[in-house]
Amino acid sequence: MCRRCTGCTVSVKSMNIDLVFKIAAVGIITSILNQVLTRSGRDEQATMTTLAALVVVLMMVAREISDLFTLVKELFHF
Amino acid sequence: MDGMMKASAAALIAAMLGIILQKQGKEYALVLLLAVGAMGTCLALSYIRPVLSFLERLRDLANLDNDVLKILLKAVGIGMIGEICGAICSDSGNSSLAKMLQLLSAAAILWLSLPIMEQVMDLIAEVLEGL
Repeated sequence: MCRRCTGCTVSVKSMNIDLVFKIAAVGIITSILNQVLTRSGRDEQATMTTLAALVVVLMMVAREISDLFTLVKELFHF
Repeated sequence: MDGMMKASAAALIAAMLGIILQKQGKEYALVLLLAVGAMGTCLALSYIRPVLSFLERLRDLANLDNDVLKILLKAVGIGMIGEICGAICSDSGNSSLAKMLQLLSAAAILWLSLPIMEQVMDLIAEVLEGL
């Protein structure tokens, strides 16, 4: 893709669209679980499940964001 | 141009899934936005990399000071990051954070360009003394 990519510290990967579907799937499953747990009266478990799923998804995205900032730092001489 | 097509398709898919996720849980829509925004910006920067090395070649040809190009590039980087993060913040409804980021990036760029402005002032003073 990039012809003169010499000395990159961050490997230039093409966009993985799988991440998009994973996040959407986790979001929908979490909301369904949330509703099931709330309806059966376990509110605190519902809240914990929502938070845990959010943390998992954030960890998946944190990698992309850290790659972005590393690339910006490297390209613009920060 | 494969990456460009993939990125456009991913953005469309993310927009549609974002509408669905808004109802289920707004936080996932924002995280989806973050993910696609970060990946697309990484792709854009990977296209910009050869352009920047070409700029450095030009600078060497013109015998310009190394610092000047660095300051310019840093300013571009600050502006870009501030703009993208501000847009994501205002998408999630926090337009005040977006304004704060705009102000911060403007202030940082002004602070960065102080050495250049001082050089210009010294040059003008020299020219005026010579007159």
